[in-house]
Amino acid sequence: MRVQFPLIKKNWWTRIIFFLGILGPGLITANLDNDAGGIATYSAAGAHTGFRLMWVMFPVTLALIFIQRLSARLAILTGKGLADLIRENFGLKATFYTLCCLIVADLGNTMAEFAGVAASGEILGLSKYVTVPMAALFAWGLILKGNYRIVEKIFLLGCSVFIAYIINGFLLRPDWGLVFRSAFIPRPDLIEITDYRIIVGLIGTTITPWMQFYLQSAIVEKGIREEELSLTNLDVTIGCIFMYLVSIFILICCAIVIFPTGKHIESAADAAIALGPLAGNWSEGLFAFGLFNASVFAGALLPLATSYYVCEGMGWESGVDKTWEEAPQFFSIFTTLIVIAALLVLLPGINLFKILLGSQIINGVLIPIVFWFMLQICQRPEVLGNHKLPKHMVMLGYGILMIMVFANVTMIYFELT
Amino acid sequence: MDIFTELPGPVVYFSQALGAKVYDHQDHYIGKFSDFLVDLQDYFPQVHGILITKGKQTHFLAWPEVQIFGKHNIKLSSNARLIDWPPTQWATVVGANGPISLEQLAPLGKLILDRQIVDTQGKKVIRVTDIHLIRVGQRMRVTHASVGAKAILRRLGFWPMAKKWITTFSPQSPLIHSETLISWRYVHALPHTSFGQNLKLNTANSAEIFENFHPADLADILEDLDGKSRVEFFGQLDPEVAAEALSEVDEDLQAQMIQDQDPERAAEILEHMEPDDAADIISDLPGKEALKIFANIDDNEVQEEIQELLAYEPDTAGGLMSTAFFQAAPDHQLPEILELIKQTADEYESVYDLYVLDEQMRFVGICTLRELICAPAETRIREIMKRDDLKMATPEQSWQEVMSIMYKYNLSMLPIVDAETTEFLGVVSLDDLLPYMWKE
Repeated sequence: MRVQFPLIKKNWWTRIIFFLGILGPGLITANLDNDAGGIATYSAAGAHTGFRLMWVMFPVTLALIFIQRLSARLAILTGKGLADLIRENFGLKATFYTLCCLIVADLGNTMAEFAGVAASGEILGLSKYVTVPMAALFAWGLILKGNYRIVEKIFLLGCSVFIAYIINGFLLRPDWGLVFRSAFIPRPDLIEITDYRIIVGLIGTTITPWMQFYLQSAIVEKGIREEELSLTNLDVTIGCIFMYLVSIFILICCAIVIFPTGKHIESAADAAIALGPLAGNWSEGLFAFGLFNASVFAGALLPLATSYYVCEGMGWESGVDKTWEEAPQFFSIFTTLIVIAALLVLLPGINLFKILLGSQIINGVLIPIVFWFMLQICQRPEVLGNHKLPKHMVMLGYGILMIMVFANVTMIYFELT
Repeated sequence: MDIFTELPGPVVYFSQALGAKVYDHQDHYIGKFSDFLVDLQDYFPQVHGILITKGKQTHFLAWPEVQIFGKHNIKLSSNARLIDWPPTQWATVVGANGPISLEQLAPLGKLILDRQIVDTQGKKVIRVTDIHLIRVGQRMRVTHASVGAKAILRRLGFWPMAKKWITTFSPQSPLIHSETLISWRYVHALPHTSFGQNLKLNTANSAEIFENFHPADLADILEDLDGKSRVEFFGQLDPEVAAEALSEVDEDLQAQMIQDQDPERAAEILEHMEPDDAADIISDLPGKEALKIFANIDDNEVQEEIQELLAYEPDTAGGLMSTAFFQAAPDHQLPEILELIKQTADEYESVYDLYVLDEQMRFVGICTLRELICAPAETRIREIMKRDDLKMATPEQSWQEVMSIMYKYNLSMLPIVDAETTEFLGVVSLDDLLPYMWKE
């Protein structure tokens, strides 16, 4: 029988869809970097230190690419989430304490998102007592509707607002020689003591523990197969480069527009000025829209993702399609995270910045641990078989790990003294 | 001498034995206890040996060479002989009922503890927090997998504290005395990448257990498994059972699961499915894969049906319809119909409505089985069938339109008929529409 196949006709189309399908998780995860915390940190770094610390982003991005490639390798070759792998390879105790740290860190991160909602709302003249509860309700409603993949897509769409920074950067006509020198030539000699906190902030918002969990689950869920590992690596790398471009252009814009004025960024409105050349009077609105979108959606995704990983690691039922009776832990973690984060942000007189910093320290402490777990698992032949990480990559990994630990210890040292 | 003199009770918790220090008969430290070796094909697997780890080295020790098995310390007898693990050659050891090859033995902790298993009684995938063993004479047998909160608290070392609180605040709580356990009979272990495929993980008949599961339960289990285990587990199912389960699995996973099977098996599974379900899956596959699997479908009729269905968009009547339906001819009488039903009924979703087609496959009338049975004997269908105002839809109509026709006239099945040739193409049943309604 001669097979006439309708599919052949749309083959090129299916192929593109297929490619875009694989080109998903890395790009989405990289964009999650440009959430409230990320934008605040990049803006602050540019506004307060000018071009001085720009080079830091280059090695940080390389480290991010390295770590995310580990995630991709683990996800594709084991078909399991990171919490699952930690549980199976390091037992219940290690998993439990890691997940406890993750909950605390993500509580801080969720607060950062809600703070972002409050800040962007204030630009538009909306009280935080209105915007934050609305955002919390939206995040919680997500669980009832249960379609967080759509939320993810809207988030991505909203994130494209930050491409405005790239266009804006070109409009500013910077001295490109200076930009390239600052971006690629390390100048540790210029670092001042107050810079350490910003450096750790840059590392902390760029390489977050929960992102590694997120990326791995996203790849697992896609069901990407072994033959497509190199494609996924490409996806991850493209995602990281995109994130690098956006963050470096936020830095450039703030360094050119705000740094010379000597002003410190104290509110979202201050940071919005950097978009002036592109958007003029609209810059506040544009910035507020971008920040609002990023914070609302990241604020909804974060608690949901966190409770997924905790339940995965602890072996509890999870899923938005379950009832409260079927998956009590899943729903309690999710709800508690949202409620506490929203309440703390709304508490009058609370020092938001200290809490954000505290969560950043926990993030900073946790990421080397998570990274270490990943490196360990990647070396185990019983997990990855023939695909275990080659020796030189392991050494490189430990090198990156040591630098991270060093940066964190330095920051904690300077914070405490 | 009793090997268990230093054990307080009859039950041994795997998690508490882990890390016990092992000494030889002269009290030299040898290493730490790291695993039990058992034959998982037993109903309640017997412990045949233990693994001792020191640094990066792991050794195997046969059970009879253990002198004392205590809670924190394990002492070996003077004739203890440590074997490198995994062994370079498969030796045999002495079991309770004769010699046993090391090859048959599985490391219990590595396969079960902290890993997912299928609970074949509760019909779900669950993570094992602890394993219970029981003393039987001078040996031990595995009895339960523990999965509840109590096991978590015990392993984290919080149980004594938690127990105090619970007894103070809620003395009636069942947590104090009971634990959530799964009897070993219902524990179905999942394959582990680092162990050979020849290692039997379960009692011999375990694959058949799943054939009695409701396909929806099997689908839930498949969805909950991680990627690799899903491929393995799905691969073990009988093609017919696999086909039924696959129809119930979440749409996004279906194509992925069929792709992970080799093309021949994939084709076999698709052949066992309703053609409309099979066509949906094939249309989700990348072109090359789809062709490869499609070419492997042996039954030409099935191939043609799927191909016809593929021409329609999945959410139109044509994409939803099933091409397997019960057809009758105008001259049929009751005995012939009953005979036809007996022969072919398992191919159709329903035989209640008799669709009457002429020789050119044109839809000429409809008659229910009840009407035919209640009519006088020797009545021909053409005499009682309804000819006018037949309810039908064309394959291009959207699912919403189909739905509203069915809703309006209270139908559970709707014939789909080609608009130009009036050829009868298939039927859409309510089940086919349910997923779309659910999404709305």
